[in-house]
Amino acid sequence: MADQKQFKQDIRKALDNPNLRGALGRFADSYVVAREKAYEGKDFEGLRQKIAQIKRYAAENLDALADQFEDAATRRGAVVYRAKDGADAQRYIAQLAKERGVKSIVKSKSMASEEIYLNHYLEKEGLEVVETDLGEWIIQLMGQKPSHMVMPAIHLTREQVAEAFSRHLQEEIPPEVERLVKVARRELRKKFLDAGMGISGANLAAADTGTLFIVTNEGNARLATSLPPIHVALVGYEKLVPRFQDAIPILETLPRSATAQTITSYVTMITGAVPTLADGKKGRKELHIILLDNGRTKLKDDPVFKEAMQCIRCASCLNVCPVYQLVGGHVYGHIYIGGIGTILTAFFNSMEDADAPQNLCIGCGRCKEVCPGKIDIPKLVLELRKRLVQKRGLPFTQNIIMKNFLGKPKTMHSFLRLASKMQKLVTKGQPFIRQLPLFFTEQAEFRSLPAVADEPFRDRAGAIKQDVANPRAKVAFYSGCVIDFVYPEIGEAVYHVLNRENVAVSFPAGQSCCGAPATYLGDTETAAKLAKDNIAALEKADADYVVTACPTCAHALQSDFVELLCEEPSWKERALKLSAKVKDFSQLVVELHNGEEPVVEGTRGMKVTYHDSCHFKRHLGLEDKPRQLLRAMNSVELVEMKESDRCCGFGGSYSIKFPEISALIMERKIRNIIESGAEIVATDCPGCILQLKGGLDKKGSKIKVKHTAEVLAGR
Amino acid sequence: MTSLYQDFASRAEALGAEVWRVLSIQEAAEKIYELLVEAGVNQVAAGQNELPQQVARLLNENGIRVLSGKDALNLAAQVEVGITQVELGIAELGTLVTDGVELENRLISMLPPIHVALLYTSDLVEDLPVAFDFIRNKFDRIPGYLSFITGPSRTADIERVLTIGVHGPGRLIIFCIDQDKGSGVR
Repeated sequence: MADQKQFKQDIRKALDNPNLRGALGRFADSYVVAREKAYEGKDFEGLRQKIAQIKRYAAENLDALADQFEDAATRRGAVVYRAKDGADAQRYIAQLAKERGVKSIVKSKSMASEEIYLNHYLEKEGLEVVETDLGEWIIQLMGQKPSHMVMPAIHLTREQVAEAFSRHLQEEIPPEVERLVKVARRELRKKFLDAGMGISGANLAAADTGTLFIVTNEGNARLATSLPPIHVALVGYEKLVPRFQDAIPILETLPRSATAQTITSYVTMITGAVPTLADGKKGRKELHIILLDNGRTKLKDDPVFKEAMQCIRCASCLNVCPVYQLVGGHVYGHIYIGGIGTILTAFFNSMEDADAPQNLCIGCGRCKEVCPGKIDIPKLVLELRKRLVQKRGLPFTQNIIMKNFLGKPKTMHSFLRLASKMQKLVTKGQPFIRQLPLFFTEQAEFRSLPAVADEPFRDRAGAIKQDVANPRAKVAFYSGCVIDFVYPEIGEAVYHVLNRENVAVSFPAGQSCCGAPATYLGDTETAAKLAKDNIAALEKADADYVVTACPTCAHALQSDFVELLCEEPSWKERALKLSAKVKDFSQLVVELHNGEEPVVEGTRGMKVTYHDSCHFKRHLGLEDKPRQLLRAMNSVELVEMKESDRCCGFGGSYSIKFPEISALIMERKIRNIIESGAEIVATDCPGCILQLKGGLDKKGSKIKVKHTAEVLAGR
Repeated sequence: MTSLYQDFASRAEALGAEVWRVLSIQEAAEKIYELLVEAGVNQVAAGQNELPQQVARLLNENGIRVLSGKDALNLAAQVEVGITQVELGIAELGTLVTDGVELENRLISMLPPIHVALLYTSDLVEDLPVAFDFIRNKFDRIPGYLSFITGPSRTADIERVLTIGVHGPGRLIIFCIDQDKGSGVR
């Protein structure tokens, strides 16, 4: 992977930057509330269903729509140029400027122009290019790149801006926001009036009428498209929609999702050439619309990534991303920012450019919940990761671990058994490893690591006494590695509760790691091998259900296995059979319990709060099940914490790849847990348990972390 | 009609516009005159449509210099106030819909720091879909430059601190006139 060390340094720099952290943090906090308010009374699900349909249709009929658009716009007096790539568009614009004697150009915001490094090219050709969107002008003056797709200068302080203005204008300008804005208005007004050409982007392009839609707040797009006698609009093909009125759902979501506004100050709709002022005389403005490909055809033709064509560039995925919130767009992006940004980068710029940033996605799924285009961003990032691994292979250490350890269950199990004996050196008899030597130090710095269990669950399972005379159901328990080797007591609690429900449990031998760590690192080869091993082991069991107490494993057994083996029909068949039998523990208990007496266990009135694991809520959608069970317990007082569904920072291999980020995400979660006043935090994911136990231990907290099964079992 | 106006006014005001409802063009002109005196302005630009021209005549009678046509075009960047007529108001959003093809109208609604927008109260519609229908039906073809205007211009690009008045106007003053169309000044 290109320049890992530099990337890690960039991350560290961002995390240590108080201005950046402050700005991003404040924004992210207020955004969630503001967005909810903006969407009051609106059917978000209905709107995004419509948008997904419109954009999907558009992507599938792109060439026809582009032809239709060209026809309609041309009939209204526009010139339409179909640019196949960035260089093509650059040349067209530069040539046009030269032919018309243009010296100075004003630009309103266009991500497409940044994508193709347009300013740089035009300046090389001797033209003056001035950004007029305030945030864009600021970063232009400072020679920086945007750190957010909608608010490019969000990472800067007013002092930094004042300094940049003062330097540029050779006058002392105080760091007062209102004053700075007045200065910008004054300076840029001159540029608007003098410019020979205005370049804009467009948020939408309606094919039936040939109309461009530009959504802004400052008024700069209005001026840039009205004052200069030539207007060039640079529009990516993905902006095309079939009809004029298809703009409606997009106009109802873009402002609400981007900046939590019900509508922006201006929505400008341009159809063809209109009057303009040139040399004091009224004339017709030249309108040149450049439809830009630069990888969009490749994107829409890709069977998996075509979904990314549904993006309306609102950046709400950034606004809710726990990782973006910490490191910002200079680290988590390359022109286009965040999860969706890495996909766009891979196609519009290069796979190599997308490599480092895509790694930063922790897979929590919050973006997927808010995307107006209904894009499954985490799925796309994972697919990108897979293809990158196929192309360049895994990083050395990861490869060793996957191929020689995770992918070889017998080896892994032997190693872990050995480790449970050897670890006394670092555990000192405690259930936690609080310090690690040498280059492993970072791993145990922000959270204590768990000790490997002295006896894995697979060795205990057979000896568990099950007093179930006439079982109403027989289930096979799939434990997964964490329960097996770190928290076998969770497995014991599962057995206890299910036995109580009159269900007999078996532990199919030959089960091994579900392969999720390999999947999330992009190593589908190892993951497929483990899928086959587990399918073979589990189909031998005589059971009504295969029960898991880990949502990542559940998702692997239910969905990943099928996908991994989809090219081998007989294996796919077997994977589907297994998939139909999989049930999550809490889900099963709720089903078994329906309408019966609540469970009474333990001492009265324990305050329990519940943490929603990302996979449990967003992959399985079961977040109400454990709550039902906990509420039904007389001995439990369920108190909700703030942001209960916010990621704990574990992310599986993520916390090993990026412990510095994992630590900060966890900090917020720990704070929320402590604030809730609970004595116990319950959850249904062993990975979250590992993270939270470790984090609370480091804090010296007495709060206990338990699996829902353990709470139900009174343990 | 009342509740459409109330929705429109409350949304537009929440987004920083100043909204007035008057019974006649006469009343609008009187109020505008007051606002001009308050702001210390004695020269404005007015668009060519019926409402701005009627207001212009009344302002002229009271000593305000009004530029129209070619003068408005050339001096749009110098005047303090631009007065234009808009086609529609969208109640759900507090948004004005204006045909901006005519260059004078467009520039005097963009360049001066104060924009006074005039519309008939009967031209208020409920929401975005209705407004879009109106646009498709009223015009033979979509006007070449159509603007939705909601409140004054704004930015939060510096530290996310909201500032009103950037490149567009810093004040948007809307008059909803109850008078029937074409009935002239009483």
